[in-house]
Amino acid sequence: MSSVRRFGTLGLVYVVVTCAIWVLLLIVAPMATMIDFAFRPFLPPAQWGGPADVYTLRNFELALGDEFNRAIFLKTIWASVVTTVVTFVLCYPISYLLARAGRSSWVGIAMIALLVPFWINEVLRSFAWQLLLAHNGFFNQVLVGLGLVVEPFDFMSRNIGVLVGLVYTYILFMIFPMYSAMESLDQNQIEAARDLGAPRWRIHWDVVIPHAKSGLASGCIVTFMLAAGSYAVPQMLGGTRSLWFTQLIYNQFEAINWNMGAAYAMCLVVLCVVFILAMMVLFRVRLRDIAQ
Amino acid sequence: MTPVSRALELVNVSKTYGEVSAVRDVSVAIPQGEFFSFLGPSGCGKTTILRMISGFIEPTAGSIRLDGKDLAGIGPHQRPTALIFQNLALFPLMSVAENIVYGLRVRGASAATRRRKADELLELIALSGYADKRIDELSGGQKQRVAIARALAVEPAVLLLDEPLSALDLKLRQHMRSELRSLQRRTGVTFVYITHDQGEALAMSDRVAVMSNGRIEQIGSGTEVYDHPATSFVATFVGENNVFDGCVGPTEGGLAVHDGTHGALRARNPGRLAPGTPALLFVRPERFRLADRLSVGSPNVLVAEVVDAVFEGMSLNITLRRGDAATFAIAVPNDGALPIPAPGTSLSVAFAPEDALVLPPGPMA
Repeated sequence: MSSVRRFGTLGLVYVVVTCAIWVLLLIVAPMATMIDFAFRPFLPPAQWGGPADVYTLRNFELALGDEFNRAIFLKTIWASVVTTVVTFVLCYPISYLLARAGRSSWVGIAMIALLVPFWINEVLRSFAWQLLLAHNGFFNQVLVGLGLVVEPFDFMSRNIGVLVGLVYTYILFMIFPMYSAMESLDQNQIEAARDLGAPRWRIHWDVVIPHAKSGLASGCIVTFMLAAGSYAVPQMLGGTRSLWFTQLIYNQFEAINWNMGAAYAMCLVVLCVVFILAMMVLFRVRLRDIAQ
Repeated sequence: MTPVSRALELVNVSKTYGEVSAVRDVSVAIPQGEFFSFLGPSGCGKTTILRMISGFIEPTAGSIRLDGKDLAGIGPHQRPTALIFQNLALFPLMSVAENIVYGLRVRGASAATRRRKADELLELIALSGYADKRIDELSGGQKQRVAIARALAVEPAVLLLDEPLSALDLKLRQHMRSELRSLQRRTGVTFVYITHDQGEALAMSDRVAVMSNGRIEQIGSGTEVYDHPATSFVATFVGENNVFDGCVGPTEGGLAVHDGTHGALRARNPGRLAPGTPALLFVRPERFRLADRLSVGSPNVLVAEVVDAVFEGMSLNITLRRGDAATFAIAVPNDGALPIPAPGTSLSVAFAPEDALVLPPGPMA
């Protein structure tokens, strides 16, 4: 009844209908289709609905049973975890400093400096990194010029290109939830811990991290999911030996085997759900805390 | 138990931020076990002093010593001081007991020691049985006491308090005053208290330093700064005061005659101001008496017109005017037989020469 008072009857109908359309059309329907596809065999259109069109786990057996696929799936997991960890380590001090700086004017400047590169499309930014990391690109010229390496370093085929690209591409998705969680921490609590004799790492462990944990968890979740689901970055910055699981999915869809592609995609979805649950356990947060 | 010499000394301490002087040449020695207050309006530098003692900021000049040792270069986490923040800054995600023993935990005290200390302090602040409560389950006064226990747990030589009562309502504030005072007496720890509330400073402190513009105007006991203010600022900042303009006249019987807006009035002249020098006469509202209750021939009688009379229960506050001069205020205690004078009526009031004093003109609060 209170919602009727808040929106009016017509308003309430509008809210309910638009939300229902949003959820059904944009979330439930595509997911249901994907699940349906994933459990059916790949058949020519003539056999659709025929005796061979039955639900089966065959696609999943092929997807993860194959050693090559499984290796790439596992690589995607650990590389995404590494990306998340590296991003976390990079962003934590930046977010903390920004949060502690309060309302000083350089915070605004720093925020804009962080945002500006993201006004450019992800593909173009990946291309820029391709140039920087190329065989005779900027980094190799510097490394060789300084005499640190004899031969130019092959960033691309060693996954380093993908890692650098992913960290760079998704850094904001880590910084912003972290920053906003840390920013709401009462500065006096940091000083109180300090005054009571806590060394700096203890202040972070006892005061800052427990306060900001929902922001830290959602930063990690978003970064991991974006990294694991990234396509452009591995495509452009990965060498021939550093395939990404998304590229396998793409290949299946391109080869018209949508059923197999859907099964691959489902594996990735399940992986992300498992990661979310793991983060919730690790940071001891509830779903509601993360959603904030 | 502790050596008597553990005094906190500020020696010519100054703090400047660029061109701005927050604290100017402050010197004070606070003996161990004293309840000492810095009293002043906001922006007078008292919080800067507190943060310098606690080690969050370093003085630009001068030194802060504890037990004779210079504290320069020692961070807040290593100083034997504990700070109670204005908003208390309790850790909301820790229980009451975890809050209290946090300082011991980071120092590596054993679980048994922490348990014992928590019990001991919870008893001291009369919150036994609250060990496992969450901070947000406590009332304002209980939080206050937990903050004090958390600071006392590290056994500081000096406890620094940054207006911790300002967020409480009036009743609780008055209760916490006596509570703080008795905690200080029981523990024997030096309390350095920062406040802009003169009532708090006077009620709790052994000594008060009244500050203005980064300087200490006067250091003394509550009665000293109230009854014997050294400057016009102290006279007007601490309590209410009527100020009459004028000049010092001849001295009669140890008291100076002040010739000013309200004629020749007699008052103490603690600064021995020479006759002829401009001076302000200060007399507190509650020192006035209704002249019809005094013997005939009393000095310092003023006949004035009532502008307004406000009954406040314990006292009757009357605003008076004489001719074109500025109004002045008197407060008459309610003895049960007090008629409330109507505005426009004439009233004869007086004060004893010993209850007024003349000071050189200067900035006022």
